[in-house]
Amino acid sequence: MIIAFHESTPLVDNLSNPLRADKISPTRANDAIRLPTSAEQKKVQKLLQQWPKSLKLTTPIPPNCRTVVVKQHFDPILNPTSIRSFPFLWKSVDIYRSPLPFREIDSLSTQLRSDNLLFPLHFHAIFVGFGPDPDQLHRSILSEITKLTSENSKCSSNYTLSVTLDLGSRCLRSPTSSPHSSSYRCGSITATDFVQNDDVAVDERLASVFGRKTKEYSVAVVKGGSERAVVGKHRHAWMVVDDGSEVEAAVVKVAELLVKVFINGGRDEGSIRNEFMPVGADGKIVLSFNLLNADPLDWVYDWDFEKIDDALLAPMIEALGPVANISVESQVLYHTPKASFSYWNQKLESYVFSTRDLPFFVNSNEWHLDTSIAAGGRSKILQFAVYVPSAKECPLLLQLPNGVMSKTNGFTSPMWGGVIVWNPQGCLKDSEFEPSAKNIIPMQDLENMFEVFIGQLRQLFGFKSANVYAGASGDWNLLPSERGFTEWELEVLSRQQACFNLHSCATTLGSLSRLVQSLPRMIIMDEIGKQVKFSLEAAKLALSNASSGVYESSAASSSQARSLAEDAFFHPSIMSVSYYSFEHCFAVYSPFFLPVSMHVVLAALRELRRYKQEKAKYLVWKAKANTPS
Amino acid sequence: MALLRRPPLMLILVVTSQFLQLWIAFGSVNEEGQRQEEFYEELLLKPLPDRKVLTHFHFQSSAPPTSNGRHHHLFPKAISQLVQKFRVKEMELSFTQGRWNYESWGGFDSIPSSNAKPPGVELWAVFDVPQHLIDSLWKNLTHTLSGLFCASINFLESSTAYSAPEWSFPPASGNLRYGTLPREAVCTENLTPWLKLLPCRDKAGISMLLDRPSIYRGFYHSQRLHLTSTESGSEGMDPGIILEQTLTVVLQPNSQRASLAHASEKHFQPSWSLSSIFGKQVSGKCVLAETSNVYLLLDRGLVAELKQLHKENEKSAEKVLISENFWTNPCFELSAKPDMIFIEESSLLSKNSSVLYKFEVEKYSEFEPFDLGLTWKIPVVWLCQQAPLHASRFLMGSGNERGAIAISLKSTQLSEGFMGANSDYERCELRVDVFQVVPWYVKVYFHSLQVFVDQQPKAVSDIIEKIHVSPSKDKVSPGVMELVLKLPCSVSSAALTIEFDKGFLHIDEYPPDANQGFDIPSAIVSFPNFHASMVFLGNDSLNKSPLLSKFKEKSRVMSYTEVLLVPLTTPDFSMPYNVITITCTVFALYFGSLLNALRRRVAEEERFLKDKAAKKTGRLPLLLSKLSAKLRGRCLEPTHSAPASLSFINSQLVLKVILVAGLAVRVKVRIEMYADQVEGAGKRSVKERLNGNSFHNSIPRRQTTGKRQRQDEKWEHDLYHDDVPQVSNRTTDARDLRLKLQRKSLQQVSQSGRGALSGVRDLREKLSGTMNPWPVNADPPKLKSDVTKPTRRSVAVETSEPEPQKAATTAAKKKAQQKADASVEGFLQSLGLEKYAITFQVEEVDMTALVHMTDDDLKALGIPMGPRKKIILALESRG
Repeated sequence: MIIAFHESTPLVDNLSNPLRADKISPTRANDAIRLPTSAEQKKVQKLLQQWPKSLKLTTPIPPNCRTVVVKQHFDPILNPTSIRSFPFLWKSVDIYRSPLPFREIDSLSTQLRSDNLLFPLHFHAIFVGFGPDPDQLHRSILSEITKLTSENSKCSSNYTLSVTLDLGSRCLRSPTSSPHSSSYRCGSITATDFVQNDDVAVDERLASVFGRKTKEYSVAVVKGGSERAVVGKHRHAWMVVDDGSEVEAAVVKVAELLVKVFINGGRDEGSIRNEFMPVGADGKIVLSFNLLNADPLDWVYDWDFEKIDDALLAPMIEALGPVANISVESQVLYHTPKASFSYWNQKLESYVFSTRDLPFFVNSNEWHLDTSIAAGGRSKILQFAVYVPSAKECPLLLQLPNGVMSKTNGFTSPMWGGVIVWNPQGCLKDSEFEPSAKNIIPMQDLENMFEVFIGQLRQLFGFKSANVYAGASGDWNLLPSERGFTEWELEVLSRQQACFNLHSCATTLGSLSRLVQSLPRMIIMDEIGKQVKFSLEAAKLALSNASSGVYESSAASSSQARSLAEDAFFHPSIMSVSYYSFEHCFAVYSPFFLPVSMHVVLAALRELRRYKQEKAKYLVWKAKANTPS
Repeated sequence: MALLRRPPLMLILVVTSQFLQLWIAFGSVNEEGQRQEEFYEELLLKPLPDRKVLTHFHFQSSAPPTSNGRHHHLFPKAISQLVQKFRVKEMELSFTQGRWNYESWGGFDSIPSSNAKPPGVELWAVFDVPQHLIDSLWKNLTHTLSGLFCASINFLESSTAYSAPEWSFPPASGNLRYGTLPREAVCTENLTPWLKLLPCRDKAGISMLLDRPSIYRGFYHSQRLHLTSTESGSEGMDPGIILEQTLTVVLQPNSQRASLAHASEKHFQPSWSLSSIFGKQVSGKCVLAETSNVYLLLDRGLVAELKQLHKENEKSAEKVLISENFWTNPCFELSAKPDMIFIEESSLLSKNSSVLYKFEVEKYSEFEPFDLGLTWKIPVVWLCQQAPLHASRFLMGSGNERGAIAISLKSTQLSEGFMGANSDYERCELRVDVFQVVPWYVKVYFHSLQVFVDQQPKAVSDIIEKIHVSPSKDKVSPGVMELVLKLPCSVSSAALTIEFDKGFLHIDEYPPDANQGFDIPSAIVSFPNFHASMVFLGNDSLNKSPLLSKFKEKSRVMSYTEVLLVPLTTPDFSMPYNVITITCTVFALYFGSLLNALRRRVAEEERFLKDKAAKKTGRLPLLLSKLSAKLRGRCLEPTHSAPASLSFINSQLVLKVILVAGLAVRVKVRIEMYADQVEGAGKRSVKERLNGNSFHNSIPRRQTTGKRQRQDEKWEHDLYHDDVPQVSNRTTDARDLRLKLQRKSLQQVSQSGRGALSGVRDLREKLSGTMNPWPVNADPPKLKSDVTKPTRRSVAVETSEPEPQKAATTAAKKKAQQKADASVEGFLQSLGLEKYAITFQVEEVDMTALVHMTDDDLKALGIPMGPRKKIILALESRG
């Protein structure tokens, strides 16, 4: 509060003395500042001496002071302590928000959106026993490839092609050969290598020729011999053609191989299944194997899971390491009937379960497959179930839609898992089964079953379970790997995983930054800031790895980026609605501001009305005053 | 086995025939027979003295220590994952509904001491990790369990809900955490996930009996899950786990005999069968169970009673009880033939021993279901074995402020046997452990602990041998009290009291139903010198029964007291909003009136109102105003008529002003509390704000009150020029409020002028906080102030009060008129007749009036001839 001091006590006399008051005429009254008399000054000094220390003078008082400006404590608004306490007050209602790198998030998503993620791929085509123009072949293969590649996918590849014509003693190379293909020694592949019918042996031979370490997809076209087209377990394929066949047909077939198999993994449309990659947001998969004894009163089967885990699953899990972190668990459940009925087929002497009833096969009421405490919150759990039917419905066969019985006797459900029906041996013959005896599923059957499960897992990942790729220009035999997934398939998965993870990471971070920016009163913990930072770093690493062609590490760091982004987005402090709701604000302050604003509005209206009235009067008077003069 | 894993052997395996494989597989299993996962199911039935039946289901699954704990054949996967993830060494979770009746259902056997549980949920767990990790593991464990069992166990996550008992809780160790939820309701949703852990669920075996309606109709049921992880021998092996699931139900069989209204029938124990109490029968065992047995237990009291009855009839009672055809003995009849009968190894404590009948469910099938029935032939009355002391707990005190908890221990008198065991009766001491957890809002004063033995107060140090107390921290941790009491064996009653204050909770800590009260969890009273164990004589097959080996274990006799319900002060939860609303309304009112007072130009409004009143003025207001004028002893100018209606209309305003004044007084009081006299300057400024433009006559003040008022003045100029007839009231504006108050007081208080004056003064004094423009405190010299104060005040009264009525106008009025009449003055000045200006002013003649003035009029004003002519000529020339 500011007080003009000079009008203090002595002026009382002015009022008591009408004469003096008279003297302070309107003309004097406009004179705002009056020099204080010496007596008044003394009084002021005295007053100031008596003032408590809490009153602070902003300036020292000069002897000839006219106006002393004093700030006082009691005013709740302008009081200096209250002004000083404003930072504290502000701090107390301040909300902690860790700074997030919004710009970097934006740049990441724009980078991913604008220029497609390009994975560099090197192809090497070797023609043995063909005509002498590698450039011509190079051009024609490239043109075929461009015909086949579709541009709609999010992640495309940036391929280079080199063509080598092996003439036995010397090689003709196309001029744009990549540095990798130079490692190929001329004459190391001859037509005689392919005479034998053992594809596996040929594959091994080629692997030794091309070297396992190269990051190059090679295809050898050999003239002479029985016609054959095989894709190996590593990164190469070979094709044996007749002596008389044209090079053009081979070129078309090679181009198709490169695009459809090596780039897209032999799938019809690579990009469609991206969203259905059965990998959890934290990059983990839990394979939960269940042996379901439909009715233990009939028979009880157990399995030796540890053995099969070591023999069949462990190599596959190791192979899939870069794509996903997989863990395996198993259990045996009892009293688990299926949910739907089958019918007796006299001809097959078995019970038949048709495809259209398959959605009702899984009995979620009785099959307690679900609980996996070991799995983290966002891991993907894939359930694989072996169903041992009860005596009432044994043997049970699954019928395909075309009426043929399923060979594997199993089915998959995307993103859920797979089921195999296994009929016990003594099922048909009314052999005296000791009901409560614990039987073990024979190892041979178990191996077969798990091969089917691996096929089902391949299907869940989007690969064909068949060993033949039927292209437009001809079939390719695909050599199966004992690890479940061949090297080139794993690379396809890695690329796809990296691409999907990066996009998902960018989307998650983008929505997080949008959420954070839209809620200015939301608390953001430091941990979230850290997670976002690390996620961005991992994403950058994944991008740089992808562009240099290191797919495995790119996939690994991209899945890390994604899981960190998800962690940040689903952080418990964000999940709880910790911001101050507007409604609350409204409920607390409206009882005050509503009546106050009413007063203010009324006062303003009155003032306005008065102003108008007076203005009118003034104008009338002015007009009147003007007219006489 | 290790050899088998090697690839060459595997190859051989593949090559050899399937049969061989099978054989080897079987062989491998047999080879490691102890490594098998096993499951046992058992049911114990026991008639209770108060015509009820105790049924106790006991399921046990065990998993051996393995190197690969991820694969399971019988053992529930969820539990093993739980143990591995949270490093649980031992854990017990119980869901209980109802209270175990220690008096009539017994308190000494191993069933009550390990299966009688406090109502609601009780969870304790021992972790196999370093101390600092335990709490986080506990929190995660509660969340997982709450998901697994569909219960609100996650409420035990908060540190206010669990405690770490040091030594009084039986499996005590530093790694133990203990928490209870007394209010948790137990229902089918909790039973279904519990059953899911059994390999056969409720599809086969003994668990088929678990008919939900009959279980939940029971008097007591407690569903319990206890797991122990056994130490694995070598490093890298996952620990073996023993999971023990029990369900204890006390049921009242429907007595069919009630219809056969025999007078003596009511002494008969009700006859029952499995199908009558559960409505179901057992159709064979669960094929996965190693053993599947039903036991019928007749406890010591009952056996003794039966023997007594037999002695009356026959001589060889002992023989009859265990003879092969016992199941058709004269006292009762069993519907099924027991496979085996066991007699308890007679202990030192009791001469009698209980009898156990074993029935193997394996022999029964769907076509021949097992249905055990018991039919009484003669009335039997017996008593169950009691714990040495019966513990109960209650609250003392009334009101919402404080109270006391009392734990009373009464001797059951039935335990002379145990007492007698100690030969030296004098020095015999009974050790009692008490473990009590109190929530933090029950603030216990541990110094107020009092002990009474046989109703005599005793020194605490005499009785309490050991005490461990961890006081509660508000909103952080509960209070824990662990006591070891040494009571003389001859004690008949003992009591512990401890006083507490009830705390206040934050508004969001109240549960949804806050008015119900708050639960204090049960206290655990245990008797470490007494162990409940039953050892049955029989062949080795008994060792395979987990239930009986459980009975064999020496478990400490334990009992839980009642849950206490403490009513706490429950606030009206709408209160904060009410307070906000009221406070805001008061502030808004204050603000509004302040704004109004600041904004108001009272003089102007008054004039306006007067104008209005003058227009439609009747006789009455005129008369009233004349009257009031007379009352003041002065002549009232007709234009000054102050209509009575004005004061009525403004009464509201007056009220508001009083309110504001009141608030200002409060402000002043507050200020004066810490401000001394010099601060009066500040006070004045408050007054200044409050009074607004009530100081119009103090011109120097007006100079400084800011732009707004100066602007006001400008407006006043305009008004003055314009409204000719209304000018005369200029002076009233300064004292408008006071004037109004004066008038009001005049009308109210008295008729005499003197009284009016005094009334004015009183009111002024009342309002002095706001109205007095010269604060007393502002006088710098204190001595002087005593002298000047009264004079000043009287001066103030005189100057302020009569002015408007004076014919001789005050300076202010003059000033105003001078200003306004400038044109007449100027006119006269131009003629050199300024000395007559005062005359015109007296008669209130302005230019307009002057124009219309005739010679006669001027004559009447007393203007001499010369000037008169000059004026008229000048007027004519202007017009």
